[in-house]
Amino acid sequence: MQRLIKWIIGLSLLFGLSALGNWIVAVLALKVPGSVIGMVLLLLLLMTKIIRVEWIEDSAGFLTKHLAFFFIPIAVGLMSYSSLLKAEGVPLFLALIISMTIGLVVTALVSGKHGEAS
Amino acid sequence: MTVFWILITIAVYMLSRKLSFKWASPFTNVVFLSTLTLILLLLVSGQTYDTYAPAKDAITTLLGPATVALGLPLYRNLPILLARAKRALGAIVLGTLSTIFVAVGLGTALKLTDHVLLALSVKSVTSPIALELARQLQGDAALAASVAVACGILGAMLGPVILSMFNVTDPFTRGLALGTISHGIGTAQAATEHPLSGATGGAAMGLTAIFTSFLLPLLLPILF
Repeated sequence: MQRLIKWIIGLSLLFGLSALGNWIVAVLALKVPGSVIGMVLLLLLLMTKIIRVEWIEDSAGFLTKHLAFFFIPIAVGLMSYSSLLKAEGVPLFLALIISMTIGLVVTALVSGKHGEAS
Repeated sequence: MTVFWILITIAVYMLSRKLSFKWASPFTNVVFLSTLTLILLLLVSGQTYDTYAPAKDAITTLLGPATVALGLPLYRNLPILLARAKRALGAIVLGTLSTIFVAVGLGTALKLTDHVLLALSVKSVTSPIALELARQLQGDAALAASVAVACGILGAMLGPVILSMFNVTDPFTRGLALGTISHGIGTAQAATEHPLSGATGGAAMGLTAIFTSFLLPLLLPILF
């Protein structure tokens, strides 16, 4: 029972913060996604102990564990671009792979490969 | 029909997840495997994406709360993040800049059309923002979201392999790099490697989105 209540509280908070984030973005005409603002709000509320970790750890833990799931339906949308992929798929793939490799390596080199700065 | 496709998506995801644990390989990446299976199922049953779209809308309403939930690992790892904040920020900025310039430069050299090039320039931000940014920059919004997803999947599949090839062992840095280059899908992959990687991935994904949103309108005249 207590677990169920925690889940309800946790999910309500996460939904509420996401909606609040969207609202802030709309009102201030920001170019940042509402959910990222919601993430920052959650961080601030946890830091100020207004939200306690115990309230959200079950629901937030579950959602972050299965974060990949929520992207699958968007990825299925790729099927609408079969004609484009036939025409420009190979150069697009090359540009994606090479730019990704360089971006990853640059990020890693600046941040530190073995955590020597920690 | 919507409920049916939601249940199918959950079933396909659970199965892909099992396979990814049993045989860990870039090709058993959960998002890649699930997406491929669902597209095949739709094609075999003679359906178009329109059939699936209501199920997509239902599932993606949870994407907001799920992204907010990344605030928890962020909070738990805050001391480590703050201790390395300066270099981490520098890494995110330089990583984002280098990947945009290489992608658009290479795309131009390979004679990609303008709307694909614009989609490439927003590839490293999470797809809802890619969509929004492309719209603001008068590009093809749906295409930009799709290229961003493709970038995320490729990053989740090959990113860990590439990082290991370059001897990047630090979980902090691995998460940061995956979140910077491959946004939410990369972060989801990072979170399976190490909790700290999930936290730095979430932070990097948020900061990349903010940084790209402000920077790209200024960069466009240089890029095109």
